[in-house]
Amino acid sequence: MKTFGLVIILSVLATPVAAQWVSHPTPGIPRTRDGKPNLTASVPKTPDGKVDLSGLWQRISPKYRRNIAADLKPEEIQPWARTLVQERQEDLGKGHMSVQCLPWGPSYTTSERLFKIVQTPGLILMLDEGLSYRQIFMDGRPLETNPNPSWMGYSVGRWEGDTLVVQSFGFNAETWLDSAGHPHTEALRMTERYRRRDFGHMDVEVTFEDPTVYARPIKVPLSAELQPDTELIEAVCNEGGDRNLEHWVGKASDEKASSIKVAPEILARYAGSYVEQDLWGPGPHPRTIQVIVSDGALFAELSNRGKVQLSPQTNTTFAGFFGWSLTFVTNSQGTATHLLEMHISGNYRYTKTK
Amino acid sequence: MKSTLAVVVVAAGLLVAAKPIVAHHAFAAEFDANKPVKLTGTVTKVDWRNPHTWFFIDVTDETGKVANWGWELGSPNGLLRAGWTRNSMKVGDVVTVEGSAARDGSTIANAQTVTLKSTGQRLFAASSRGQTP
Repeated sequence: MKTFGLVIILSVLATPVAAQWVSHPTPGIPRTRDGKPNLTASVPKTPDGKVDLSGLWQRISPKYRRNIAADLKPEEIQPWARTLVQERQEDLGKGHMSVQCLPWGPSYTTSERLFKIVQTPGLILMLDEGLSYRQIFMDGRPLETNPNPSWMGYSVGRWEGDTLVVQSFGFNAETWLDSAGHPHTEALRMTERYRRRDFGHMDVEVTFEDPTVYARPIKVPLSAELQPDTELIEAVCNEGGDRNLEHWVGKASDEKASSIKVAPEILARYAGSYVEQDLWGPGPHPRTIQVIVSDGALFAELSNRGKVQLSPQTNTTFAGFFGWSLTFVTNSQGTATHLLEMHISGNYRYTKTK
Repeated sequence: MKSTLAVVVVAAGLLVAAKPIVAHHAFAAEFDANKPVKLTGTVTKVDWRNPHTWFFIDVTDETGKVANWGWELGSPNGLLRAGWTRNSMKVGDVVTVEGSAARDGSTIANAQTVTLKSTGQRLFAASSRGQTP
């Protein structure tokens, strides 16, 4: 009886009153004896024996989320595209689809967004919180050869053993392939491969081919994890809110221009490895930041995405981290204990581990 | 006792599970991390809309002049998944807000923490990791 009381109290704590679907237990998923979703249970199958990919998934793409061309040499990218990437970075990503409230286009497949797969025998749907959708036709029809360009493209799929292979074409050239700003043209072709490893985990590989911009196909490996006990919640970016992009006046070069000189012994205090913390401790995929001192300057690398030089704004706050700032917090001995990564949505806290 | 513990684990699991990664725009395009601002005022409007939630407070300075400040939070879904609802803060609430001011000098800022005067409750922004120590 006591336990029952506790159930009620904890359920109330865990469930925001007006938003129960956000933590509604997903029916029909395997659970361990303690009631937790068993994400390593076996792969579910449809009545016709195919792998069933249905469910709510979160993509995980630590290395390529920001820069899908991380493995390309500069000369493998057309000069005009390299210039465009520089311009987009100087503007701190103001033209990105997420800022302009446009559909994500092909980069939807490699970005860390929630997506829901609904699988039927002849058609697989992928649904996004921003109300864009993809139809992947499994009925054997050929891919469109000369379609009107669209945001999310035209897609057909087939099974190669237990792997779903999706081919897409007919994208407009309005979207970026990543947040670094890599462009594509209407010639882009995209191939996705999805293999569900077990109940809760999926391997994904996306290949972008746009020979008018990139000398070779860009292969982006990533993974996806099932999100049990929650739901896709509508988020229509273009509601307007009180946002006014006229206030977006900052440029990447402003941060360099306002840099100050910080003494090397102070910089040395900040060097080390930092791990992202949740309110409840490290999350399932905490991001990491490596901070190093080199030639009298501070550099930081976010989850293997490449080093960037930080621009000191004060003795503790450094700009130049993809448009975010890093503030180091020290103890009374002056040793760094953690850092705060400053976002519009709040500070993310990283604890120093070594 | 065992079952009680299991219940605690399940409930904690529910809390932690509903927290997907959200998209992040550049902070520095709009706000200046070197311009900290801390103001207390009365909420005049909560605009729970995409792409980012805003709220507005009337701030009275020592001369009695009132200025309306706009504060940007994360996305409604980010806030929802971090435990906020659109009723967490209401028009008429007196709040103290800390954040960073706009680059262009207008009376808008990014809210890092919001403290309700009536309860002392410290609300945090959408990142859910947002509680500054």
